[in-house]
Amino acid sequence: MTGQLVDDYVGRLRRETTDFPRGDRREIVEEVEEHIREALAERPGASEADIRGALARIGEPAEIAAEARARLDIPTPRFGGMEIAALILLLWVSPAWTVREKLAGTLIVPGGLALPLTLLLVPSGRLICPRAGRLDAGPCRPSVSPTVETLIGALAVVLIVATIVTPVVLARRLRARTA
Amino acid sequence: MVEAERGSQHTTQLHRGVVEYCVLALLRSGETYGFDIVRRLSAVDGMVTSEGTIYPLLTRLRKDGHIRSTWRESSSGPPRRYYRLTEEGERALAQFQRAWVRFRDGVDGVLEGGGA
Repeated sequence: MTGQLVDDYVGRLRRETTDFPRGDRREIVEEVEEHIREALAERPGASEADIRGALARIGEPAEIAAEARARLDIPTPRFGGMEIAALILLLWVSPAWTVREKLAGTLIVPGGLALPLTLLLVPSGRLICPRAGRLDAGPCRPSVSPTVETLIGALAVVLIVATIVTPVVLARRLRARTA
Repeated sequence: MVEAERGSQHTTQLHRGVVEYCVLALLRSGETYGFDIVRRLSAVDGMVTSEGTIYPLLTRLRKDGHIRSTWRESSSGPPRRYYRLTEEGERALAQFQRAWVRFRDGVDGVLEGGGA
């Protein structure tokens, strides 16, 4: 039971950090495991409540992962691969559309407006700030040149239009066929 | 009480920036391992809100070249990572300490109504 609590905790920490660079992840997970070992070694015969208390002092795995993202500049994943996979599966399983339409839907609809909006908003809004949050922080600079930014902007506009047009066309054809 | 709780849940940027130099300062007295670092920092009121958050910081400091880690056998249990201050870390710490003292004195002056 008590070993189970620790295993669950470490499992949650692993899940929170699946997208981390492998070396960073291993180091952090190993160190937290070692910390738990040391904390429990200090009180042999620890009760379940003792172990819960020790884990609570270490903090929620999500909190440790969030701190690691902030300290190590690891971005938060924007949308999950599982959601996209589910949408594509539904689209292809459905008998309503032709293969060509399904292909269009697969390439353009997944992620919806998230991808182009991200392209549009992120480059201009993102600043590189050396040693951000520290007392010796450097000045912030935009992360991309204006030319690249314009190109990305144009691409984003095309993608936005495509992501709006594609579902509308697919829906109209569906209605025409079922009518 | 509510204020204090809210404060402890929210790790401010200032807090983040200061804790890392406290880790470097601890290592000035010699190399040690993660659990010991966390325990000594935790002894300072308000320094560590969740013990586990110190480990990502150690990774960061190692990547910055401010500390170095080596595996060492321990008398009790499996080998541990020991951390030690590098020359670069010592320089960064000395620089911070000068900036901090100036900043702290300035803030104290303003808070106590003396102004600038």
